[in-house]
Amino acid sequence: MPDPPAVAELILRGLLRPDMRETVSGDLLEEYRESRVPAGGEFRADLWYWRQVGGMWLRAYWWLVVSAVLLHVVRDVFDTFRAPSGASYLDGLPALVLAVLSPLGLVGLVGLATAYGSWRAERWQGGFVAALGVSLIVWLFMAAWGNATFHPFAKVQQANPYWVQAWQSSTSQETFRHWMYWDGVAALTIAGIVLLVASFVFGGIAALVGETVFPATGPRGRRIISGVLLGLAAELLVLIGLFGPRAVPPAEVALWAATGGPPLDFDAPHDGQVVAHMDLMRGLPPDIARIRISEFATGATVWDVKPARALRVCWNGCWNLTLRAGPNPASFAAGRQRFNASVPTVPTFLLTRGTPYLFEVWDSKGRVQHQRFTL
Amino acid sequence: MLPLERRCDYNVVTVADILGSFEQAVLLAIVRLESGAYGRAILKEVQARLERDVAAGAVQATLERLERKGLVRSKVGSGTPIRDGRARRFYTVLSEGLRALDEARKTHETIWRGFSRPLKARS
Repeated sequence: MPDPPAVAELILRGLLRPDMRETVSGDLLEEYRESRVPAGGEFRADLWYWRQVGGMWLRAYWWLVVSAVLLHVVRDVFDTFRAPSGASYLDGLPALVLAVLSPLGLVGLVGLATAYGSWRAERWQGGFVAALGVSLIVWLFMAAWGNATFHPFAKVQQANPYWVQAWQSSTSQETFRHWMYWDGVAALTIAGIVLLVASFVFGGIAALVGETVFPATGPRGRRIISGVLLGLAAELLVLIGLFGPRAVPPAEVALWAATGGPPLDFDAPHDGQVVAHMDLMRGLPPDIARIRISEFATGATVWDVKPARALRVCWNGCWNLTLRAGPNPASFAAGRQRFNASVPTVPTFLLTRGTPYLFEVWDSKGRVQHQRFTL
Repeated sequence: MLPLERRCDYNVVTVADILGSFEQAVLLAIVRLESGAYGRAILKEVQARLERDVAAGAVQATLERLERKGLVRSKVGSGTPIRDGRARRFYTVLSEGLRALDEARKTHETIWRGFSRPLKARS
């Protein structure tokens, strides 16, 4: 007779109270063998079984997932949207609230999941099933959230002196968005490790306590752990694939299409010069309608250029504009596209070291991107 | 002025308190199945009556809730080879459960009294 997926069945058993374990898993097994496999084959029956177990898991622990997701979103939003000084808008809140909103809050939720899962299922495996499930779902949400908000949030951060300062202080010569991107990947990796460790630490504590309170289950517990470890290893591989550099350019194109405006990213200034990148995937030229540089403090326009005619052409691999301390050409040719300056009226404009400037670029639809830079 | 209970044909608080439609479907499935009312049979019966796929977890959670409310009682029975001998939990509707079902039906009929179905939108 066909059997449902072993891991799903182990999770199911970790979800149920002892008095319901045999009866509920028996009901699902009977439905699986008698109706689902004959009607749709083993694969579809397996999917059905996973859906039932997933539904039962969510019914039991949805509030923990929602709490953890909300915690992450609030923390990420307030981490991104800061005062220009770098101060968080949450700084005035009581210390207890700040502790809940810190990464510790998330770890605490994993601990709560372990305790609740153990109590609910009346066995320590229930704690593992709850904590690892919450950790995994929240981790996947973090990855999806980080990808979806990357460009809109980076746009906000590029306009904030605090973040610009942080980027320029870093040893990296990467562009701002690459710096942000790898910072996000590192944060996600660390979050995953922390959640995983928290799940096992709390699960271990629950196990120690549970062994004395509930009867030990021996081999079944070891099967759960090995199943979970296998699953996590597979997820790690998926994560590496998902966040590998090869996945970045197509995601950038899609996100730029959604968020709009010409692409704009800066190298960290060094040796009195900076390169403004305005292309996608180093191969798709931008649609530039205007570029302006102004002094950030006074708003005085230093440089204002427009193309002689609308063209999308690659230039300087693919569209990279180098700005130097000292005189820079006011009008210039970017490949076949000629840019003519309205400000200044003289052939060159001057950039000085230590002066904060605002770089703005518009596309033909009037969408604008901007970034601060200091040479 | 009439006292509150005379002004309404039904008591709104009681309607909210008694049974949801899914709870009614589960209770009626147990009544229909009589001595054969165990988890999977109830699931099939509810699916057939509601004419849609229903999650096993939804039925299970409802059965647990009804038992907590004291409307049904369960006892563990024997297993069968197809379920690897795993026990079955058989449910029986208690007199409180039957009374709740009658109340729900009465309320339902009272709410609908005076309407000819289907309802038509005013243009």
